[in-house]
Amino acid sequence: MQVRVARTTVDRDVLLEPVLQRLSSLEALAEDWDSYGALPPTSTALEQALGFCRRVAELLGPAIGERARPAEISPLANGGVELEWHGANLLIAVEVGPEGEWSYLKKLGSGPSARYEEENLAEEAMLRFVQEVLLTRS
Amino acid sequence: VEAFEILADDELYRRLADQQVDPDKGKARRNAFYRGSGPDPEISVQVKRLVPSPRQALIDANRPHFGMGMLRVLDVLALGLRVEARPLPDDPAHAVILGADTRTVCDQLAEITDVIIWPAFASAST
Repeated sequence: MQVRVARTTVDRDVLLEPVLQRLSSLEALAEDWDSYGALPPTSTALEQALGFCRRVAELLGPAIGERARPAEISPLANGGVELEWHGANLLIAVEVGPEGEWSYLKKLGSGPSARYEEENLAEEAMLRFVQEVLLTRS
Repeated sequence: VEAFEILADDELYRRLADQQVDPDKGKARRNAFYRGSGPDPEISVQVKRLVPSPRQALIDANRPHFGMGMLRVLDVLALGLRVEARPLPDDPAHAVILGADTRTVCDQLAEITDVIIWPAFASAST
């Protein structure tokens, strides 16, 4: 199914343009893109991911600028999308599932001494979590 | 299919799509170890000593544009995972990494993966 990621006025902001480009490029992925049977991102996952990025940009853009934009966006094998933000010695990976489910992986540090935390949250709670972590650890 | 054993000093190859590597960091991404709804409980790999070359392994799998990652068995075991030989008729070097059941472990696997062949990039990366 071909999905068009809809643009809004706020997306013309330089903050979100790379996000739109990246999500649009993921629309073109074919089934089995990883050679192990992965599904292409669903329209639900792409739309939810874009909506979440918009909200993070609106909330945090004035305070932390370009760091409010995900540093990485990756497709997941189940048809979901992963959004990754980086702070000082910190990584938050937010997974948007194919049906719009939310979960995160938080990583402090790197290498063998890295500490991890992962949990499932509702979208609103995820937004608060990302806001809290990025504002305190940027 | 000829049986074989995994040795502690073995090295493993994992095929990598362009969406599973981060060219800026020079690293594999954790999604390289996902399948279906999350972490892959049986991660397919090939044992290096049983493969002519990583490039040939990609050609034999009909994925010449894919990349290849390499992991050391010792590093995999240190994460609390197991490696088991699972030779297949069309892939006698096939083995699986067992026990990756969290995103955390997938991230740790990505950390210990060296990208030895980069995939051909078909789309923009972020």
